[in-house]
Amino acid sequence: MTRHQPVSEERLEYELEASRFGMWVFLATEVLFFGALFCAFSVYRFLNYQAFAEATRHTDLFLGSLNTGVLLTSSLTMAIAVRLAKRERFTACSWALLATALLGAAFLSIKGLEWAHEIKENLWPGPQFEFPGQDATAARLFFGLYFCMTGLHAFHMIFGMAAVLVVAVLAAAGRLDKDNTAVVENTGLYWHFVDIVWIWLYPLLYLLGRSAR
Amino acid sequence: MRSLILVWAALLALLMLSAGVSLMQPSSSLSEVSGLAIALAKTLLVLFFFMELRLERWAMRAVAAAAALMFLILLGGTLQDYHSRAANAAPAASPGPGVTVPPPGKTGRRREDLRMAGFE
Repeated sequence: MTRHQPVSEERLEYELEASRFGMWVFLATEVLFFGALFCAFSVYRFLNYQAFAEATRHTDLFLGSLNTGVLLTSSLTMAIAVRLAKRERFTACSWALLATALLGAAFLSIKGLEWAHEIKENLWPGPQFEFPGQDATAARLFFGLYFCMTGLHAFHMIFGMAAVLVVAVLAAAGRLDKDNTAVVENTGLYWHFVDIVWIWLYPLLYLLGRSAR
Repeated sequence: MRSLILVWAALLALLMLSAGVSLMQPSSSLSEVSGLAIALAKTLLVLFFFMELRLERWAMRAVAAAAALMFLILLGGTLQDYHSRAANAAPAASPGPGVTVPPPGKTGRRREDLRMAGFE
């Protein structure tokens, strides 16, 4: 991945910026991709206010909060990795990336545990669906959106972890230099974006309505 | 590095604050405003410090702002549609043959919306 011809600092900065710009534009399309689901959630919540509040009390606040902490910490290690790459400390950078991927794996394990609990309680919106509250139809909608949104988010996490691991290997193998830190920066931007999606899923699925009695 | 760790500590503090507020069970409007405001604060911290938007030029910030704006138009337009249906539908609606209109009131109106939107 190393260049054959040296380039000027100015040219390099210009190229890195163009590359980040492309990533930001891609993330803007991702905002609308998730945005459709957030919009659907808001409409159904507006139409079924009480039932959604009741359904929220059936998600696991402790595991949800723990997972938010894990994901925020993975964003810290990712930001540190980008900082280290810019200082051309690529071995340390690969360790920070590995930590990020491990925290991502911890997040997915906790999420899987949560799903297993919920499926065991018949909250999966299939034929077995059972809800002790008043409006089971609306609660089924809530859990349909819950599994859809957390599932799509988990899919993004898996993709992000794969990207982070590839970059970690590149960094550890000495395949990165100051000319191509863009791959670290852009993987970082993607990872933080997935973190931000979770930052909004957390109040919608775990907090709002928990107190509305 | 130190600024990154400080931002991380702030994010965790905000997380504990939002979980704590939810556990204290305030009125539902307070819990909603605080939940969403804290999510917004966390988002801005991640955008400006972890994603380094504060170091970028305005063109890059404009992309992020455009994404937020497009999402708000999507959300605002859709909610406005459903909200205006709830406001307009109930008094004037003349039910067609075989349609039972639920008694007026918040829940009834929302049920009516569901029916109009084809969900029931």
